This record gives sequence, structure tokens and C-alpha cells, in this order.
Amino acid sequence: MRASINQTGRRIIPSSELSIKLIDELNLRFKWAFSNLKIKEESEVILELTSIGNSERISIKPSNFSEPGELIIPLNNFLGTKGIIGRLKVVRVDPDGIRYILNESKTLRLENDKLEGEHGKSLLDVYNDPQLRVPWQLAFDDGEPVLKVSDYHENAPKIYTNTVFQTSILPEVMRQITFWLLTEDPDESQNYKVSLWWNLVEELGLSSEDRIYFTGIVTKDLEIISEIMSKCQEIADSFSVKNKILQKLSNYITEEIL
Amino acid sequence: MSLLSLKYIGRFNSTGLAEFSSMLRLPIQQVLAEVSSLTSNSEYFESIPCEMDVYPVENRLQLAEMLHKSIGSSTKLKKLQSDQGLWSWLAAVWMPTLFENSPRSAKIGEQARWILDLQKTRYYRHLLAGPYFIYNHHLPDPKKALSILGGSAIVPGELVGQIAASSDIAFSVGAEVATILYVDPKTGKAKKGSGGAGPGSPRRLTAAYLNQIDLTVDYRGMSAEQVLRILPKEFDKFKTGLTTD
Repeated sequence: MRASINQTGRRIIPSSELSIKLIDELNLRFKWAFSNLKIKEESEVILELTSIGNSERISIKPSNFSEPGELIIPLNNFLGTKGIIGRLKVVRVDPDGIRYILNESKTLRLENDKLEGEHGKSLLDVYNDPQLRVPWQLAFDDGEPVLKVSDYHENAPKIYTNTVFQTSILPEVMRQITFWLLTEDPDESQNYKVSLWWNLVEELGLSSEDRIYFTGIVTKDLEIISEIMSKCQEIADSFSVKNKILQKLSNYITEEIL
Repeated sequence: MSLLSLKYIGRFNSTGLAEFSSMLRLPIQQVLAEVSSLTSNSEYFESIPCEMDVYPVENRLQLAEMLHKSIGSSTKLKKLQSDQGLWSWLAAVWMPTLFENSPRSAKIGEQARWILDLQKTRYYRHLLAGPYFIYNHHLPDPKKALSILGGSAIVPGELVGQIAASSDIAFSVGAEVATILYVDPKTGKAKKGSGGAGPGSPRRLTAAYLNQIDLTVDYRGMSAEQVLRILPKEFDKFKTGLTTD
């Protein structure tokens, strides 16, 4: 597995070499199998685990990582265990106390946290952003789509719950997410929601042949991008038809405005 | 000063949550007059034996202390510490008390203030669960997180909003750094000039500094003094009276 170095100089640990999984409500299994990560004895290795209402740091001896292994981590201090995310950092501590990150993983997500995006949770997280000067924006933080809605002034978030806004914006959101899937080909194994997004896009008409074709092309020229954009528009239109967007919008205008 | 002594704590069922959610859209006076009809109607919740006094509190810290005392005394409640029904019922029962002698700016506001929203970007907005989670995390010395716990329980304020919004900061030494910079140790309240988005402001500390250095520096493993030492000069005006060497 190749290692990558980002613009800050940290080496990113490949996602495939680490995993976290719930054993039960009180214990989590952290597994690793590094292909070429060398950790000096004087470094510190920290696994950060975060969930709603908690953030714990677990220090692990560097010597543990010389071979593939696993660690069982008790979750007694956690208020809830669903949606735990993790981050592994290898840190060098300078004499002045500053702790520089030498290596780190991308966000680790529970392999078996099936509740996320499946039962009672929206596939698309929506949150208010007080600094957003446009009504909405789609972001792809942590490897999944997130809809930011402006909270710039007091009434701004109310726009989001309005029928006109939802019927106008959701097909466009769907189009942008499809474009992201087809151009970025995000890692399904690292985020369960990504596989649910793929399922949804396939239900809306993306064939497996199209998916393999578009994601398989590493360098996408203008012609391919144009093809992808057409396909994304088809998916967004299919979403609008399936969700009766036209009917909802016209009913709203008839009832509320006319 | 009103005092309500509870012998049980409720946990809204789905009907209770839906009713509470609908009620929150009504005018504030109507909500305050009618909310007890929800928290006393057993069709809407499951009751869990537990004693709790409900009376006006000075700040979020005092509120969190009271919640911690009651919830910590019940094994069943400990298992429900992130339960939406529990926190929403508690918010409903505390609502009239929180509004008692409240500032003029106090309002019902968004639902996430009363009904616990379990999305990671919103849960901290809950008026009871928000301070409770922070208090619980910063034990045994929750006063280190006064930047998030020092505000009014019903109008938490800008400083609380800025620091609590980033869980990486709120649940780490970042909260203590913000307390040292922006909370007046004599009054326990936000220092004058600590609002806004100007140089050295809490917004700069979170968005422009801690969240940026988080890419290269493991600041969450450092002491507050060590973090203060590496802050840019723009924060110096809030360091007055500190010895960080």
C-alpha cells in the first residue's frame, strides 16, 4: 500500500490498515496491520475516540505496532456508543512541550455502526452555519455529504423548512452528490453512508456499468466530465419525479400564495 | 423563587416528543402555560424514580451540577445519558423555571435547544444536555470549562456558542484555554470585549487557530499553559495577568 504525504507534511496512514468495531455496548476493538509505517520508540501514539458528549484519548505503546495486532478498549466512560469515530496520531514531543503530528489516520468509523444512516437518522446531515452568506451549501467533510444551511441572521434557518426551498434545492443536492460520487469515488468501506448513497443513486437509475465506467477513468477529460454531468442531471430528474417535486411545489403555490 | 421537587424523572415516548415538538411552535406565553400538561400526562412518558429539585439557577455550571447529582444517583438514568426522550422531558419540566427572571432576549428558539438532536453538529445546543455533557467530561474540575459553563442557562451567550460548537475544542484542553482567555476569574463571566469576530476573539481562537493547528499539532495532548504559549500575538490582550512561563 502506498503512503501519502499531505501538504502539511504529515504522512497519512492508509484507511485499509486500521479499523474500529464495537464488540458490545461496553467494548470496542481497534485493529491495525501497517504495511510500512515505522514508529520510533520515542514517539507517542494516541487513539482519539469521539462520540456525542465524549472525547477520549488512549495512549498506546509504539512497540505494539511493530506487528499486526488489536486492542480491546473499554467504553465505560462513554455516554453513548453509537456513532463513535476515531483518529490515530503518531506524535513527536519537542522539549518545549509542543506535540507535532508525524502520521495520522483519516477519520475511522465503526465497521458495525449500522444505525448511522439507517434507522431514524437522515442520510444527509443538515446543520446551521452562522458564517454562511448564501442560503445553503453542500460540503463533503469527513468523506460524506453534509448540507450547511445559513444561520447568518435569525430568520435564515427558517428558509430550510419552507416547501419552496426544499422542492427547489433537494434535486440540486442530489445532482451534486451524484457528481461527487462519480468523480471522487469515495471509500465505501470507511463510511457506511457512502454505500447507502450509492444504493440510492442506483435506485434512481445509475447502472452498475455506468458506475464502473465513470469511476474507472482516472483522468477525466472535458468530454467525460460532460457525460458525467448529463448522467447526474438524469439522476436528479429521476429523484424529482419519484418524489413528486412538481406536484408538491404546485400544490404549495396554489394553497399558500394564490 | 419557585421550587419544584420531583420524585421521578420522565422519558418522553414518541407521542410525547411529537407533542412537545408541536408545542414549541406556539407563542412563548402559551408554551409556558401548557408545557406542564405534557410533563404530567403519563400517556406521554415513562417515569423513572429519581429525586430532583428544580429551581432557578445562576448559570449553566449550577444547572449541570444539579443534573449530574440526580442522574448520577440512578443506575437506569446513567444508561440513558444520551437519550432524546429523557433530555427532552427534562427540558420541558425545567422550561418555566429557566424562563423565570430571564433576560429579555430569552426565547424558545430552535427546537434543538429543547429536544435533544443527536446530530454531532447540533447536540451541544440542548439547554440541559449541552452543559451536562461538558460538565461530565471535565470532571473533577468542571470550572476549567467555565467558558462553556459560565453563561446563563437560558441565554448561553456568544462565548458559549463559539466554544461549544467545536466538540474537539469543547471536550479538550481547548475549553480551558478559552476559559483562561475570556472568562473573568473574579466574576466568572465573559470578559468585556470577548465577543465579535475581531483579532483575539473566541471565533478567531476556534476557527482561525485551534481548528487550523489541529492539522499539525496535537494540542489536545498539551496543557493549557503550553497552548497559551504558542498562541499568536493577537490573543495577548486577553492574557493580561497571566504567567505562562
